This record gives sequence, structure tokens and C-alpha cells, in this order.
Amino acid sequence: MTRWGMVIDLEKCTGCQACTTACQMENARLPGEMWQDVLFYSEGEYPSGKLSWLPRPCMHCENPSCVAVCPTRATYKTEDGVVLIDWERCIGCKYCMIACPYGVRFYAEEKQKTQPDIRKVFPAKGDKVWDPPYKMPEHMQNPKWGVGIQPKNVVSKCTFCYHRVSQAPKGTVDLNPDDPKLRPYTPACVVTCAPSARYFGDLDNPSSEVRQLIATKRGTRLLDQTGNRPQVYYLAGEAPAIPETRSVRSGRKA
Amino acid sequence: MARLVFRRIEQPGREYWAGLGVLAVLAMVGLWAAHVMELEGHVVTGMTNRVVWGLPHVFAVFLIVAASGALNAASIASVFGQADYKPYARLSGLIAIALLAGGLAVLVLDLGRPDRLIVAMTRYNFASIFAWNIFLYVGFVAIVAAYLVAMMDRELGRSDRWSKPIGWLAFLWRLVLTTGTGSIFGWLVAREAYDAAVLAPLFIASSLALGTAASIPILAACGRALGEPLLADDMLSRWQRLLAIFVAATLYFTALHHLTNLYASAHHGIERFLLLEGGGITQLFWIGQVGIGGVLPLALLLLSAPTMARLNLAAIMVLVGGLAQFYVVIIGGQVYPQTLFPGMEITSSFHDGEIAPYRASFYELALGLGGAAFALLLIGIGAALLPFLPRHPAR
Repeated sequence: MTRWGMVIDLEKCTGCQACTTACQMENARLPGEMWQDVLFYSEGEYPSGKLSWLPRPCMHCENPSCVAVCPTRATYKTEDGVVLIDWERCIGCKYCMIACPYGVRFYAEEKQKTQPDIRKVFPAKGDKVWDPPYKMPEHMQNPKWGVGIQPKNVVSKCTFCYHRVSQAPKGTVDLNPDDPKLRPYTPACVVTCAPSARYFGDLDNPSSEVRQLIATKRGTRLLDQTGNRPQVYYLAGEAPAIPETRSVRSGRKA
Repeated sequence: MARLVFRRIEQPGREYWAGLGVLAVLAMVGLWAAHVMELEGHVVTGMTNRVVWGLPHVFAVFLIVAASGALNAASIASVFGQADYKPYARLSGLIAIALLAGGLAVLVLDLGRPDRLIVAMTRYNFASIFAWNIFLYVGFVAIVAAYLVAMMDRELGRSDRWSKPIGWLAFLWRLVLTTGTGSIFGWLVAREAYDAAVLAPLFIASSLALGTAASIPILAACGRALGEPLLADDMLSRWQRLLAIFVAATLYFTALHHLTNLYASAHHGIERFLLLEGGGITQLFWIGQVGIGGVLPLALLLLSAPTMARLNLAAIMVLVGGLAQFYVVIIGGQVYPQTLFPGMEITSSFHDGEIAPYRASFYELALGLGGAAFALLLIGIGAALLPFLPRHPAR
């Protein structure tokens, strides 16, 4: 069975946030509700200070805390390794948001950062949050996967674009956006990434590009000490850009 | 010891009805606030995607933890064989059920989708301590109800044959229940403020203190409604010592929690925030939790002669300290940023690396107070309907 995973090459990533925007458009997210965000962090002090960045989608962990704590099994892991939220079963207790070490979960009824409140500009009927002018076709929306226009008062997060990935031909090893046949099945952030810093494929297949990259370029995972075992790997190059993998002088007081 | 006779508030006076009226209004305002939050969402609260559990959770956890401890009098009588506490056993059962009902009402109404409660009651994930707590809370109500029946039924209540074993079960169950509530936080590795097994015994100690403290003003109010005090002088000093022991135990486990955290350098950041640099959170910890909720009532309880007024004052201080304690644990633990990159300054559109702002809104306060009022309403109605109160003060 395929176990989907992502590799992000930090040496290629320019921090342009095209992935963030693509995700917003693909999944009709509200402004500020960025399933995929880019974190900027600084280290050192003038004149040797350095600014770095790191894209952060949901890590779709092998051993996810969010799945363990969800009282109703609304958050679950698919056979192909993707962590999803069943919007029809979520009771909005938000325990998963407390339990996620990566801070990648969102509650829909958040204060809007831009005015006017876009939910009032495009109001929805029923219990949906809003009715945006741009949205994926109805047949692709699936509340059981947490895909589509979100109901009110439930939790949401990155789905690895499961509405695309789950339709990939069986036996696909790598979802390469450069292959026109595979592009429709590839996550939006991977397709959009201008410097091609993102790779998506089967982590369990030794011949997959993601597996090879992790092996040959020292793929590392965020907060591995929590035991969550993310399925998003980062390639940090010769001088590891993920700070937890090296010793640095703290620039922060608390 | 004379045969125990129990009674109810048979002729409620004007004060009783006025009190009940105020509580009913507060409970209704809480219900309305929950409705508004349900319709509008986080927008009308102080909660954000960073601080997802707000003031309602503080009240809910406070009431649930106090509920477990409110059964102290009954446990001391049945489990530890102290017959002097038997006159208060029935009322302690009523208080325990009522406080739990109030806490659960707040918890459920604070859910994003309270309309899906049936999902929570039918689809369990046994890896989740939340799911376990559903069983623990429902089981607690059932066991305490059975305990009350065993004590109050004309036939069953004649001996300890039923009330003693059920009392033991209730005693053990409430220890597990409070462990479960503490473990909601203690088992989380994602937040530096939590992730500590000592939170479970800390919550148990808090429950003993808060439950005892909650019972004292209720006993005083019931005595007032009956026109005679329910705590005679000798019992006054025993309740006073009891509360002092539980407050001291809570202070001890609080110190243990923070000292354990300080031992691990990974937790120095959160400890510096909570104990030194957290602004309002730090003040709430030292002034509210430690001062008003711990040191001052302890001094009052240990250094002064027992009077109902002093005992009441100390109990109310402990309750205020308990609210401060859960605010520090729940809100303080969330406003402090998750550490993705230790030692780095982090910025993002998600406010990573920053202390998240949180100011509770009126709606949150109304829901929390509404839950407490609902609990007191249940106690008031229960005490008037059934004989929960002792006719003669103990001994």
C-alpha cells in the first residue's frame, strides 16, 4: 500500500508563499486560515544575523497526536497514510488543536484579519462557513475527508489535497507535477512551487524520488522527539537549516 | 451519637426564592451566551486559533474538579469510618452531582457542535482521554446517585450494607475521574506547560481542596435557610483542619509541578513565563493561586480560632484561588508559543513565536458563571425537595 509523503527542499525554497496562495485557492480557505504557511525565523545577532524560512503544511504524522486525542475518531488516518478530518463527525472540542505539536489546525469561526468579513460578502446557506465565488466542483468536495466548503464550528487542516491524490492511478510511485498525466493528482502546493522545491510520493517505495531524496540528502523531520514521526521531510543541505538539528546561540530570551 | 434525622428546606423564605431567582437568571444568561457563541463563533470571544480553550473551559474544569472533591464528607464517613461526617454525606452527594452537571453543561455548550453530542456518546476513541472522561463523568453521576439511594432509601439506609461498598466505589471512582481530568493536560507533549504526569495528583489535591471549600458556603447557606447552623463548633474546627490539609497539599503539588519543570532545561522558557515574565498570568499565579488561594487561607485556617465567618472567608478564597489556578494552567499553557525551533525568533501569519493575546469576552464569562449558577440552582432545588440536610448538627 502506498504511504504518501512530502519532501521540501529548503535549499530551493525561496519563501515566496506561492504554495500558501495555491492552497488557499484550491481549498477555498478564508483569509488568514493558511493550511500551508511559511514560517520565518531568525538566528544570531547583527552583524551575523540570519533569516531563514520553512514551509509548514500538516505533517500527516505516522503516529499523530491529533488522531490519538480525538474523542469521536473524527480525525483519522487513511490506509495511504494521510491524516484527515471527518467534518460530519467533528464535535468541535478542539482537543486536536491543543495536542498538535506543529500548530497546523484551524477552527473556522475565527476573527477575520481583513475587512469586510468575507463570510458576510459571500454568505452560505445552511451550516457552511461561506459560499466563495471560487471553489472546487461539487463532485470533488467530500466532508468525510475535510475537503470542500467547510461547515461551521469544526476543525480543519491540510489534506495533502486528498481530493487529487486519492484519484491517482494505482501503483503511482511519484506524483511529479512535470508529468502532465499526473499533474491533476498532485497536491496544489507541489504543482505551484516555482523553484520545484516540493516532491510528493510513496515513502514506502524504495525507488520513489522522495525516498531517494530523504536517503541521499539527509531528510529530517520537525520535532522528531515528540514521537509523532511526520511524513513531511525537509532537506536542509550541507549546513542543516533546521535549527533543532544543530547547536546555536539563542537569540530569544524566553 | 443520636440517631440521624434528615430534613429538607420545608418552608423556603424570601431569601431562598430571591437566591434561586438570581441563579436562574444567571443560568439563563449563560445559555443565551452559549447560543450567541454558537451562532457567531470565536469572533465574539477572546479565543483564537492559538488559544482554543478559553474562560468557559476554566470554569468547566474548575466545576468538574470541585465536584469530585465535594464528595469528601460522604467518603470520610463511609470509607474512613468517621461517623461525625455522616450528617453531611447526603448533601455532599448532591453537591458532587450538581457541580459535575454544571461543569459538563459548560463543557458541552462550549463545543463547536453541541448538536453532535450524540456522536460523542456513541463513537468512542479509547486512545483519547476525552473519550474515557465521558465514561468517568457519566459513571460518577450514576455511582453517586446510587450512593444517595443507598443512604436515603428507608430500607437500604438502615444499615451500611450498601452505602459502604458503594461509598468505596465512589471514592475510588472520583480519584480516577480527577486523574482523568488532570491527564487531559498531563498527557500532552505538544505544549510545554502541560506534558507533566504530576498534573494528575495536583488535580486530585485541588479537587479535595475545592470540593471541601465549595461545600462550606453551601452548608452555611442551607443552615441560613433552615434557621440554624449546620456546623456545630467541634465540627467547625474539623472542617477547618480538613480544608487546611487539602490547601497545603495543593500548594505542595503546585510547587512540585514547577520544580519538576525547572529541572528540565527544555521547560525553562515556559516556567520563566509563568513565574516571572508572564504579566497578568504571572500575577494571577502568585497573587491569585498562591496568595489568595493558598497562603492566606492557610494562615487564616491554621492561626485563628474557628468561626463560621472565618471558615467561609477561607473557603471563598480557596475557590477564587482555584479559578486562578485553572486559568494559569489552561490559558497560560496556550498563550505561550509552541517551540518549533528552540532558541530562534519565529514569525508567521499564524503568530508563531509570539505570546498569544487572550482577553475573555462577556459571553465566555456569562457561560462560565451560568454553569456555576446552574449547579447551585440544582443544589437549592434538591435541598428543598428531598431530605439532604441533617436535622441536628453533628454530635
